[in-house]
This record gives sequence, structure tokens and C-alpha cells, in this order.
Amino acid sequence: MSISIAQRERAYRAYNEFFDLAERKRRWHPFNDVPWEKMDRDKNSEEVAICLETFCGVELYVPDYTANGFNLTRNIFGHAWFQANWGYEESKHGLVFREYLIQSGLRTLEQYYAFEDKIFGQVWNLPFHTRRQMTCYGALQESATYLIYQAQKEKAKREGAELLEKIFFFISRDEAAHHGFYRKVLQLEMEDDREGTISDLSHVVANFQMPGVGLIPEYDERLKVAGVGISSDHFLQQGIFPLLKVLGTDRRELIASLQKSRMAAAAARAPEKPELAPVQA
Amino acid sequence: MNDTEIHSLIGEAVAFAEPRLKGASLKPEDTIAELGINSIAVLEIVGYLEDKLGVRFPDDELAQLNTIGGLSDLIRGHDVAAQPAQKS
Repeated sequence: MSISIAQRERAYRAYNEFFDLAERKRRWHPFNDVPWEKMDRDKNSEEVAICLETFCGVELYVPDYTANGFNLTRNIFGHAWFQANWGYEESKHGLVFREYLIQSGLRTLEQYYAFEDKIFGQVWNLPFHTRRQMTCYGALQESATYLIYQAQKEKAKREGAELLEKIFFFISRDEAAHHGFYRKVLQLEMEDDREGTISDLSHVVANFQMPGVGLIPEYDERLKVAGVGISSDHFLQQGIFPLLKVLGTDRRELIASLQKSRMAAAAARAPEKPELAPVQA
Repeated sequence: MNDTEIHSLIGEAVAFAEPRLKGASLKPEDTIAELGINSIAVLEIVGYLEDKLGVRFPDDELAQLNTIGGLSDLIRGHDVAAQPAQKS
């Protein structure tokens, strides 16, 4: 898909806005700003371990996320530079989860490396193959991730786990910012091509899966632990509906677009009617 | 609209959104998650019901849709007995 200078400039401005805010208000140091001295082993449990290990596993695919993201966006400054910043921020998330697992004693180094080997033994591939569809995916996925981490932050607060509360504060704030960037880009895409953008969004919502599906060991079992995932109704209310609203659309338009796409796909698959041979006299 | 009609309509809506569930025996306590119905399919089910019943459910009421029984409650809550069916 070609992109005009005006579109590139708008993407650049969206990135600058994201970057400026990040530099001024959102940077944090994984060792200096996280109060590691408040580690309270009594508040840990195997459930906490499974949550953090699963989150860590998802974040460990940063090399694949960024490699694929760069390939898709490398000729557009605003998007490619966002990928670089996004990868840097996500890399800190994986690092902090790893540190917590080891420092808390929830996992030994040997257990951690065995887990890491399983993660790095698989490769994450793009779930969608155009930049706009991946922007839709990014907006939804970052929203879901934010909601999951935000719930973890609230849980840590209720339980008086100050260290985890701070960790999830930093991380969920990053995810909210990432979601904000993707949302902004989607608003720009809507201005350029409303119908096409809604069509892409409906396709992505219909085929959406979190990145850990099929990659994280025993993922389905892990999802049974409270807080690892997000329920579809929560995602609908707190993730999908707010996104539709900010884009100036609604669920009815989304579904209509999806059904139109399905009908077009079905028509394309249907065999053409053979031409009737002329009747012989 | 009585319970049997509501149940039948929900069966239609579910089969429309998830053809693999056509003819499935749906119970009120069946959860949307257990049935493998994803977010977009929930929206399709709701859209189907709205078209059939000639009503529009507010988005915030869809948060209660964790179960098949929740769909029944949604319909009952809107007094759809008075609403004409829009499409056959």
C-alpha cells in the first residue's frame, strides 16, 4: 500500500507526540525506580509465579515482534520509529518480570532458563499482513494487555504487595500509551479510508488472538489462573467498545462490514456458472 | 414472547453467528466462553436478535452476556413482546 507525503507527515507527528510525552513523563528505570527492597516473599504464591512467568514469556518475543514490525513499517518514519520505542519499552517489561521471578525465588535460574529455552524455541509470526491490519491488532492487543496489567495492579494494591503494584503501574502505563498511539493512527486511517479501515478492523476483531496463543507452554492451563487473561465480555466492554467509539463507529457498522466481507469472499470462492453450449439444430 | 420462543430465537442467533453450534442443545447456564463464542460472534448474535426483534440494546447492557441465560434476560428486559419482528 503506497502512502502519501501528507500521510507520512501525520504519522510522524503522531509519533512525535508519543515520543515527547514518553521522554518527558513516562521514562522509568527498571532498577532505580522499581522499589526492589519492598520484595515481600510472604505475598508471593504459585499463582503469582504463573502470572508473571506467562507475562514474561509473552514479552520475551520482543525480538520477533520488532523484527516483523520493522519489516512492515521500515519506510515510514513515524511508524518505524514507534516500533523502535515500543520494542525498547516492551523489553523493559520482560526484564522486570524476569528479575522478579528470580529475586523472589519463585523460579530458580535453572527453571527460568528452561522456560526461556521453550520460548525462544518458537517464533512469533505476524497474525495479519498489512500495516493497517497490524495497527488494528496493535490497538486491540495493547488495550487487552493494559486491562490485564491494570487488574494486576489493583490486585497487588488490595493485597498490599507494594513492589508488584509499582511494577504494574509502570508497565500498564506504558501499555496505555502504546494503545493511545495505535488508536491515534487508526483515527488517521479512518480519515483516509473509513470503509477500508472498518473492514480491516472487523477482520482483525473476528480473528483476534493474544500473542501468547500457541507459543507459551501450557497456555490454556495458565489461562485458568485468575488474572492471566481477560474475559471476552470485559474485553468487549473495556477494549472494543471504547475503541469503536473513539473511531466514530459502532458495533453495528463493524458487523455489517464483516458480513459484507464474508459475502464477497464467498462469492469469490463460488464456481462460475459454465456457459451453456449452443443448442445444436 | 414466551420462554420457549426466546430460547428458540437465541438458538437461531447462535447458529447464525457460529454455524458449528447449529442444533446444539443450549442451556441457560452455558457460558459464552465455554461455547467458544468469541467477542465478534457475541456482537453478531446481539445484532441478529436486534434485527429480529426490532430493538436496540444499549452497549453497556451487553456486559452481562456471560451466559445463554444472560441473552434471555437481555431480551426479557426489553419487553420485546410488544415489538414486531423486522425480518423473517
